Amino acid sequence: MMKILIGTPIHIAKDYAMERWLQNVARLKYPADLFLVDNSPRLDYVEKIKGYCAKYGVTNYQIQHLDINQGLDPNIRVWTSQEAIRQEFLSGNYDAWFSWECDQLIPTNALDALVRLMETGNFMMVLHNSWARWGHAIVNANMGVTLISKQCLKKNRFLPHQWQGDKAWFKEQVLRNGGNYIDVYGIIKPIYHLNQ
Amino acid sequence: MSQEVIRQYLLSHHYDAWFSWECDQLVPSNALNQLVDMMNAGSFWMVNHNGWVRGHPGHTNTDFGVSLIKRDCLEQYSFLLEYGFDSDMPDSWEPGEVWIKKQVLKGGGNALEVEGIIKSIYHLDK
Repeated sequence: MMKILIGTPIHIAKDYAMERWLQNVARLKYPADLFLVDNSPRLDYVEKIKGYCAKYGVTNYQIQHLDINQGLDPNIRVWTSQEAIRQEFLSGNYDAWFSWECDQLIPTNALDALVRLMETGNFMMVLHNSWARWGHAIVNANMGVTLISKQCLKKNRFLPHQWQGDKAWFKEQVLRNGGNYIDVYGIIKPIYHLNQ
Repeated sequence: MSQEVIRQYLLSHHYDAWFSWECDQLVPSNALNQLVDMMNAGSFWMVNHNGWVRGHPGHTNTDFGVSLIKRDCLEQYSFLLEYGFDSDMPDSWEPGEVWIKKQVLKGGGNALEVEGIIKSIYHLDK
């Protein structure tokens, strides 16, 4: 059985979704550890998250707070948090990172489906697409519900050399380094991408 | 129009899937086996393996150049664009393959876009 780390950047701006998301985490069928990287201002939000975890019985988790200049582009905060997750992942004995954004609600068997797909083709990344938060007609091809193998994370990092990267940049690096991935549409249903 | 003729041919015979393979793309001899395996892995309606744009190796090509499309999908969706049928429909023939993928998802189907599994795909430009 693959050992999975759920790793998610969080910020107080996403508090509208956090309680529902942690309830979703608690109900996930596939066993996994949870690692949250908080890039909010100050430490207060970490305490609030601990309260949500206690409420829903989430116990196998860690929270790391990153003290980041809040004036930076939010993408830089996210990339830095993702890189912190990658480092935590590589220091543990995990087989894959479940990159799951904290504003997306998924069925309880979603991680099982991703693991099954990854094992079938020995893929380095399995990205499941959803609809954009701001519009249901726009496909969201980011890494909101994505399983990434250890092999992939050893070779590729999240901090671009120049501040112009994004999720597409990471995927491109994977291909340039001889890797592979699949973009999956319509297998995990429904995915609710919360905007309020 | 040619794709629609192929679709009609497939539907009138006992095929399970259409291997849509453009005549300027060279693939490894086991490429079709890999597409079949991936289709079966998730009961996907479409498995599109992306390559590079002809003459531009840095640009991903997301059309149906190396794709496996299940019969179920072809029974429901046609390649003939019917302008005015859908408000989101492009007013051009060019993005028709993108449009059909979108229709599949809207209709409750599923699809797989694959990068880097079939190696190498040569997209010939001369």
